[in-house]
Amino acid sequence: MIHPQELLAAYVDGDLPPDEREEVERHLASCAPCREGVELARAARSALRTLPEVPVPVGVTGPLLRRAGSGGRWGRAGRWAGAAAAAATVVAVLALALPELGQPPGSPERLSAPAADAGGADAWASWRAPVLERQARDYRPEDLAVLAEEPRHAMASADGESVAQRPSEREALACVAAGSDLTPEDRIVRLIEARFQGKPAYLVVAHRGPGAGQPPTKVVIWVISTQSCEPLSFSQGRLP
Amino acid sequence: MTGPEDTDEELVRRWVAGDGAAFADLVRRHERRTYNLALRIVGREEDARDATQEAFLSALRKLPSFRGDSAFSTWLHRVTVNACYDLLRRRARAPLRGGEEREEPAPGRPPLPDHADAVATAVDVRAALLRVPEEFRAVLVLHDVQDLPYEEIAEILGLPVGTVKSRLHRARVALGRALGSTGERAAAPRSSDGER
Repeated sequence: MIHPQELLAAYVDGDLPPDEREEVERHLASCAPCREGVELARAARSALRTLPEVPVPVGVTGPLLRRAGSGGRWGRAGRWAGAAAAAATVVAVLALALPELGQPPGSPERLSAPAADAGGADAWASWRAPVLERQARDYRPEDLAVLAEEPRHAMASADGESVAQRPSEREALACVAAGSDLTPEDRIVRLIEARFQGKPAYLVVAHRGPGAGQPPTKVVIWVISTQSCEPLSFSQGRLP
Repeated sequence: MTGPEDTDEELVRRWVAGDGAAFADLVRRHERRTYNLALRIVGREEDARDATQEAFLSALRKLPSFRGDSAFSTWLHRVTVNACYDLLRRRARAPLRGGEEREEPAPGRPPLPDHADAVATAVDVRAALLRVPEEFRAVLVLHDVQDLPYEEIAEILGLPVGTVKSRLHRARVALGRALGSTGERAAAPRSSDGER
C-alpha cells in the first residue's frame, strides 16, 4: 500500500484542498497505521502549541555590552572609548567572533589593534597565569574540546604569581589580551605555546564564572596567533 | 536613526556600509525568536543561551556575504539551526559536564495554582520533544512552535518541500509516541525521507 506521507502533515494542519483531503480520507479508511499516525500527530501538534514563548534571559546578549564597557579588550582600547553603546555591542561581539571573520566592514583596524595600543597601561601584567608550556604539537580544531577535558593540569609552581617578572608569560599575555576577551576575572589554567593548524599560536585555557566572585562555570579556550596576536579559534564548554 | 519602519534588509545594508548600531537593532529585533528556537531544539536553557550567542556571532561573521537571496529572518533561522546542531554535536562528542540532564526550569515566575496543569503539560512536552531525533525536532519546532510555512522551512533546512512535509509528519508521530510513553525512548521515525 502506498501511504500519502507528504499529505498527512497538511491534512493534520487542515490545509489540504478538498480533492486531496478526500484522497487522504479514502486512504485512512483502509489503513489503520496511518489512522494511528494521524491521531498521534494531532496530539503532538496541539501539545506543541501549549509551549509558551519564553523571554530571553538577562545576559544572553547583555554581557557583550558590559564587556565592551569594562575590562575587556575593547573596553580598554582608548580609541573606542567614545563609541556609542550600540556600536560597542558590535565591537565586543567582533572581539569574540573568530577565525574567518576577516575585516568587518567599516572598521579595518578592529581586529588588528596590537596590545600596545590597547590602553590601560599593560593591565594584563597583573594577571595571574601558570608557567608557559612550550609544545611541539600542532593542534587541530577538534583537539580544543579535548584540551578542556584533560585531567586538571598540574599547576606549575609559578601559578599564582603575576606575570610582571616573567618575560615569556608577559609576552604571551600581552598577545592574548590583545586577541581575546579574557579579563583578570578569568582564571587562566593553562598557557601553551604550540601550533594551531600549522600556525604558531598561544592556546589559553581559562575558567570563567558569571562574575561577582561566583565560582567558575565554564571553560573557555582561546587560540591566538603568536605573530599577529589575532584570534585563530575559540571554544567553550561547561565545567562539570 | 533606526525606526520601526526599517526592514531587516535595510538594517543589513546599513551595517555592511559601516553603521554599527544597525546590527544591534537586528539583534534586539530577533533575539527572542532566535532564543526560543534554540531553546526548543537544544532543550536546556544554558545551551540555548550559548546557541543564541553563537548564532549571532556566526551571523555577524557571515553577514557581509548575505546576498538577500532569502529574507534575513529565514537566513538567521538557518544560522540558528546550524548553531544548535553544532552545539548538540559538540555536546555529544565531548560533554564537559557530569551528571544527568537537568530539566530546564519552568520559564518566568512560579506557576499560579490554576496554571499548574498547563505548566505540567509544558514540562511533559519539553521532555518528550527532546526524545525526538534532532533533525526531526528542528522541523517540528519551526512549523508547530514558530509557525513557519513548509516552503520557508525547506529554505532554512535546505530540503525539498516534500521532504519537509513527510519529515514533519514523522516527527509529529514520534512526538505523539513520546508523549504517550513514560520513560521509554521515543521510537525513532524512519529516516528515509520522501517515500510515499
